[in-house]
Amino acid sequence: MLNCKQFTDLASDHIDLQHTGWKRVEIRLHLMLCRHCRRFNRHLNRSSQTGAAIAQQIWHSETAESEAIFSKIIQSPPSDKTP
Amino acid sequence: MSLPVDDQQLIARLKAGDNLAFKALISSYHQKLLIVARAIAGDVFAEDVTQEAWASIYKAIGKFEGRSSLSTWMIQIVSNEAKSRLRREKRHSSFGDIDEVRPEIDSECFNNNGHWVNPPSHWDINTPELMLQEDQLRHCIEHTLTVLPENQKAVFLLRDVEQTSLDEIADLLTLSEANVRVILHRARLQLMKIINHYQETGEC
Repeated sequence: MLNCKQFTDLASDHIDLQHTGWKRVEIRLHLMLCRHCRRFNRHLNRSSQTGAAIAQQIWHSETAESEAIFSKIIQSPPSDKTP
Repeated sequence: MSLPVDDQQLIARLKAGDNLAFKALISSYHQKLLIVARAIAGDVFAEDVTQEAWASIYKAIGKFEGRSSLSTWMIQIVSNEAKSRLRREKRHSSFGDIDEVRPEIDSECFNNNGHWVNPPSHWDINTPELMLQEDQLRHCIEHTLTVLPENQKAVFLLRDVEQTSLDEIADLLTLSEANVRVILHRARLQLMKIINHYQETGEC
């Protein structure tokens, strides 16, 4: 039977639906029985969602930087590489 | 795979040679591509690699077939550029595989049987929408994201922002999937720790 410490180690994988079979059943059963782990799971999920929303806003470039990068592309023809 | 309407409109403009659209694309993605480049090739080559990737994207956008999303396609290009740069410089990936030991919550939180003795406390600001409205908390999270180790930043970006699958992330960053999962868990735990501290004290 899974304990709380073990659940906290597996919580990210649980969010990403990485568990199958018996492990998944074990986790669901533990979450049904343990309100603290349900809260931990909720907090981790919301932290990830909030972090992602903020990352989306801060990880972008100002217009001047984009202009500078674009100018360099136009000045130097790219090599022949595609994925 | 069908692309979102916004993506389709943007791609049409890019294919038509609309430079304003390309500059907007740079604005949206340069920092993200830089994070991926830095995670693979290290700080020294990252700017250079990303600039080369933009040149390749500019040249190849006309041939983009939409088999993946535009962002996945661009991230693949920067990843390839970074890996080939490393090969040219005869270097190994900047962080490589880490040990796969799971990051742990403070052991004082649990008793010997692994059950909570200091369980997670209630969060008053308990939805992402409410958290986003708290200026001070936003500042704490922004700072945390900025100072995350490069590997955690890249994995968090690819998984939680770009929704890339774990096996794809492993391939892009030349890591094992188990490593990706450990790194992702570390990044999320760090964010949760900061948010939890703010919920308890009102400070970063």
